[in-house]
Amino acid sequence: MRLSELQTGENGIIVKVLGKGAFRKRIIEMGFIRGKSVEVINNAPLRDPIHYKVMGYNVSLRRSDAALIEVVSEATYKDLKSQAIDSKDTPSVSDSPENFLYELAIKKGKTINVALVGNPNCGKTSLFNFASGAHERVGNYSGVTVDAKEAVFYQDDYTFRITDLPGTYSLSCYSPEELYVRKHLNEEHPDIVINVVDASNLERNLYLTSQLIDMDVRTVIALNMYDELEKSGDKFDYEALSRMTGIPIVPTVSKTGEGIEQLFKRVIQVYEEKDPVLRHIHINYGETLEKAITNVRNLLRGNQHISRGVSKRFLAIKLLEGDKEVEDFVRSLPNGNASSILAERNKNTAHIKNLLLEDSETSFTNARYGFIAGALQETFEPSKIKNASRTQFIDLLVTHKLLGFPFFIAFMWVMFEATFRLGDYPMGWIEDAVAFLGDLVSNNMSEGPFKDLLVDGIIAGVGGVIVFLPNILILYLFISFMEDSGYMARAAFIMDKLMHKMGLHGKSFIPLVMGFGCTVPAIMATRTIESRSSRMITMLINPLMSCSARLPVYVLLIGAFFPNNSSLMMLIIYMTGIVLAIIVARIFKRYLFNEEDVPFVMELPPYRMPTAKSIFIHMWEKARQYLRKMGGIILVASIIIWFLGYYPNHSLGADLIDKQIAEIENTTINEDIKNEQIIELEHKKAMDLQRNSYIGQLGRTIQPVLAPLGFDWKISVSILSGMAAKEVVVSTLGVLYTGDSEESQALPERIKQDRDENGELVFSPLVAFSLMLFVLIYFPCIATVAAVIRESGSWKWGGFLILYSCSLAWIVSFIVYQTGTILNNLIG
Amino acid sequence: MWQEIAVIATGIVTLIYVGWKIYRFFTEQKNASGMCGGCTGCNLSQKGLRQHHCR
Repeated sequence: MRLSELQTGENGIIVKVLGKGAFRKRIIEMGFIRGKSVEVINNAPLRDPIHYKVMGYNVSLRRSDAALIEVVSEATYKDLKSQAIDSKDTPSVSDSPENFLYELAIKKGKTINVALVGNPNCGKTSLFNFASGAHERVGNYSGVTVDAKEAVFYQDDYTFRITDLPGTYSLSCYSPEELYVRKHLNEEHPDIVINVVDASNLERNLYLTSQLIDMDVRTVIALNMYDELEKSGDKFDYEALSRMTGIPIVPTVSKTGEGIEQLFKRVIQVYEEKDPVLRHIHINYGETLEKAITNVRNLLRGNQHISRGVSKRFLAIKLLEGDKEVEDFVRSLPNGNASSILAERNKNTAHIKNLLLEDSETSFTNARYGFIAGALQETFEPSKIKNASRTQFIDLLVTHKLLGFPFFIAFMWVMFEATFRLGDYPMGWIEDAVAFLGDLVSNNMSEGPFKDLLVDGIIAGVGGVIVFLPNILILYLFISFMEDSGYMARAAFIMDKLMHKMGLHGKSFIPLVMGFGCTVPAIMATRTIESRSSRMITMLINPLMSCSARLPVYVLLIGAFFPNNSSLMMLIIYMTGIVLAIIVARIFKRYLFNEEDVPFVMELPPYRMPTAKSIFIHMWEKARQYLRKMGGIILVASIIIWFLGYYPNHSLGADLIDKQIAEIENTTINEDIKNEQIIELEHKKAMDLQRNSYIGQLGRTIQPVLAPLGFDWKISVSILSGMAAKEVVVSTLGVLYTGDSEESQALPERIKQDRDENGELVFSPLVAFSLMLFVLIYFPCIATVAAVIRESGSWKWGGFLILYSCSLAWIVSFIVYQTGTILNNLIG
Repeated sequence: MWQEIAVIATGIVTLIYVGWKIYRFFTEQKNASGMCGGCTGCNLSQKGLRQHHCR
């Protein structure tokens, strides 16, 4: 709890003083140090200041200042005693509150809140994962972290609470991430900020550092990917830079963990104020800007409603830069001198423009880069003999305007080929295991509905989907490789022109490519797009990027109907999704979202060989997610489909067939002919029962709508159930196509042999293609719709997604099926 | 007979599960911490991430 929360007469033990700079130093000098007791003399509600007694002296603190001092109180003791909490963070609850609180304050004082900030793709999340043992997703492109993540770990008797913040190039207010990071630093007051700096791109990364210096937060720099700097032959005297900036710098390699222990040792030193290089410096912005800063800062200092935890110099700089958020903050100050502060700001910005012939924001940016250039001039020596790097060489090929696209398509083809060919072996093993399990239950259980539920519902449904796990893992192996190696960013680069034609910019490509994995996180990744117009279009077309949940449908149908051209068919399906996304985006841009986009510079990170650990984490997460779906939604959907297909379990037609069977059994015809007739009648009975079951009735109700696409009622039901999750399309087919054939037969065979009541084959390659297109285009699942509703802030867009995707799916499948039928008739 | 009872029990459990999921879907839409609308498909939902309003 905070000192300001203690009531009159209450005692507390000081844990730590938050805040920064001179304020913090003065508070500590006044006696507010860890482990010391403090008593509240008078804390009247809504009254400032509050009177305290510490080390025998009476002192007064403003409420906002007291809120920056963390304490433990008797109330904490009582709470913990009643809950009997025993953890690593708390001492054992003894009977003496004084001793307990002292020990607790000391222990809590050894908890360091650390915030990780840095440019996108500088390795923050890898560092976070390595330090904390977490398994957060990492990728070699920007925007992987879309929200803050927290973890706790222990080192050298200290507890570290680390927060991985979204990557940001600066602390301006142009993007949600920038605002989010700034808000976190100002409101959460982390004890230490670890500024992760990409050693291979110092100039740009140090821009953010310069803003952290302005903010006056206690910072330690993790000079990440230091191995790449060493390999490049560049020389960097980071210790000299450390001394110049007053910020400790520790070289790290987050993918191997090198230097991370030393980094946190340094964090402890800074936290305990024992680091030899730690000091606060001011970046010298030059006479004109410095004068303007001083003028505005003096007025800000005069406003007592601004917490001392926030640097007035930083606020002054931001006001002069025209930062809207800081401007709103100043306007919202109660009884303040907001108008005079803003008037002073306006006067000074006009003065800067007159003198420097550029707006003040540009002046500050240039001055920061000047500071960085100066610092690097003294400490950084680029390699004199720099041959074309590996990255440049590979980029010649993969980002070439002519060769880039064929390379991309070739990569995709190899990916699908591996998905089919390599996945075929483990798929066969799992198929055999599922068939064995089905036969085992079938042969050892007495006849009855529960046996039918197990064999025809659960094993057929879940088993029909689980066989595709290897294919999905292989697909993810390739996607992970693309992400981690840096090729994904190149794909974004070559697609940039295409993206502009779509009315989007390259930044939209990352969420779109993530959509090949799972649409829900991809929709959340659109948060990195500043322009609402682009963001909305990206969200709405993202479901057209075929997610991995649709892969089982393709593998099933392509395996059954296009075994000789499997990779080509898969490529056609995926490319159809991309082409449709382009067309739909153009239409949306033209009629729904026609705002202009903000300009965007696309960066190309250097190539890195992905680590086995990182790829394993991606695949493991995917496998876990898939298996969780098996035990959840797919299991439940299979049971429901079975129930609806099994009951009411009688029909007039079935009764008539029973009579016919009885008559045949009583005749004296040849035994073989008799058995043949009985088998045929049994088959007809099963079909009749299924047609008249609840699901049969439902399927036949919706089938007229989907009949022009070549779909029978079973396919129609599968499409309907697939709205919950795309894998359910396969599990539904698995359940519905069980009754007609031998139980051990694989699902592709069963659907190939299925015939309607007229004896015609239900599936043909054309129907399978039409179905794959429908599954590709109609919305992937309810979770996606929920994500769109949440991210767009409106149910309207969720409804729109359902409506447009289903309509588009119907139109495309209709055109393909009807054209194919006409061509078939003409040819054959 | 036991098979009928087992089937009925399975049906009841399934209905309760579906009802609970539908309830969660609508309540999670309103709940700021449930950023995935009740979907537990990927690891994002399990991290208890803070809601980040950037609309």
